[in-house]
Amino acid sequence: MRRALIAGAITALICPAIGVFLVPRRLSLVADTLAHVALAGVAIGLVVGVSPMVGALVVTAAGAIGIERLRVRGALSGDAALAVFLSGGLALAVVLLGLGPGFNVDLFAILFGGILTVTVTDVWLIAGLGVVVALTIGVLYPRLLAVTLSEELARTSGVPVTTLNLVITVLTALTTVIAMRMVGVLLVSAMIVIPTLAGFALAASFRGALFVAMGIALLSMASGLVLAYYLGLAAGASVVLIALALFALTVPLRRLRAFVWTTPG
Amino acid sequence: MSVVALDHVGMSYDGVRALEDITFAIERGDFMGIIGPNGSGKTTLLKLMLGLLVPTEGEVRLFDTAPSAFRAWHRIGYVPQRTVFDQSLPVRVDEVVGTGLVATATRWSRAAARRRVSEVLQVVGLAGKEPSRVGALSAGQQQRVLIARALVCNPELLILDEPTGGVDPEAQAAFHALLQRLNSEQGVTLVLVSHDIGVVARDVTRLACLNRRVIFCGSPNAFFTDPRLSALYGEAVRVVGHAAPCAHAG
Repeated sequence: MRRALIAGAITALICPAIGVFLVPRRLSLVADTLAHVALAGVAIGLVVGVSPMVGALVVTAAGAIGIERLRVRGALSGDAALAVFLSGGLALAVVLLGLGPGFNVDLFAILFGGILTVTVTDVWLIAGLGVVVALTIGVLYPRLLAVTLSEELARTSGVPVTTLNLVITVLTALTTVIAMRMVGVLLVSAMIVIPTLAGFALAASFRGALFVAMGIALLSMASGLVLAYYLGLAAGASVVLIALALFALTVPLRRLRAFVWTTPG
Repeated sequence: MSVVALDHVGMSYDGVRALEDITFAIERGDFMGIIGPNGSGKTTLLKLMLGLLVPTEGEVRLFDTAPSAFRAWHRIGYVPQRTVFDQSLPVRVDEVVGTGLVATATRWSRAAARRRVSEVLQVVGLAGKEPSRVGALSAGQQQRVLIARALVCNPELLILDEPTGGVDPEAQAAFHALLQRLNSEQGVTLVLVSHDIGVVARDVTRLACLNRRVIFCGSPNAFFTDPRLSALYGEAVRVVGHAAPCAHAG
């Protein structure tokens, strides 16, 4: 349980940190696409005999670069490129996993998360990836904000927009691999998007939205893990359902705030 | 060295000619006005100057450097035609203006950045608006936020694409007075695209008229005595001074 909480806390902090730079740019599906590519990476890792997480890491990073290259060259529109990689990743994973009935793999955990079975090695890998993502975002925050608000204005301020878009996509890949272990391939995008939306709904600044989103993700993760542990529920799904409930609460809170701000006196 | 130089520049989109054989230079200290009818290529021209577009013919030089190789972006401020970001985002005024500081190579301390942002907000008449959410401001105030963002690095060249759209007349007058001060007192080179011929003609030192090609480039006085004005806008156009009432035909 302690390992699960540590890994969960890192995941909860990292997911919204990348989410705030994806959601405003209508790139929420990138995380979902990369999660499906990660599934192919898990399968490839099993076939070649390496750790599934390492396989997921390598293949997802390569997939992120491929998606961004296709998008920049205009070879495919944004959503078409995502559709190609999402379906291709899933199909490859299904075929490879089907080839090896002897693979010792918990498919349910891969799809929906196995946070309560996380190992010490997993924790170290998640921590390492988390540090890379956090440091990169910390150093590049002003430029990432500029690109998120307006690519055109960012270019006229000398920001290397193409390179930064690639950085965002690769960071999303790393975040996907982190979150995949916690909540599973099918729920990764939920951990990235839902706390972010809640943060944007409640906060009065972009930086504030980031911290609010992290807080909501942490609360969801801790509550979901405790519920899963004591009630025997699916951990990843429990975390996501609590995040959804917290997001639903932001609706009346946002209306109350708007009422207070606009009421004279 | 010209600040901006265009040499036989042409631009086509999917076989459609947006600009053709554009050749002129903007010198240091110029206040260049660019006018033209809708679809004449004014915004395209600005984007070519800034390297946001690559010309299909000819060459653009920015401070004697190709835009693709240009690195000193803190020397340039740009105000686009309209607010370009999602207004539902919880972004503060000071956060938007602060993104203009990424153009400088040096890292600003939080305190220094905050001071500089407050200074430029005061200049554009938004003092005290730092914590306001940009999406909650009026269109005119949002445009002034973008102007503040363009000024935050003390640029040598300021490029503005119809910056006073949606701004009330009093704020427009203050803004044009600001541009005059920047040009005459601080020597900032200005390139202003505007539909308001009267204001442009009054304030600028040089005027370029665009209709896919450069129809006219010279002093504002020469423009008003040039018969090519009618070629640009059609026979029915008159330039009416803002203080003069319109004469009625009947």
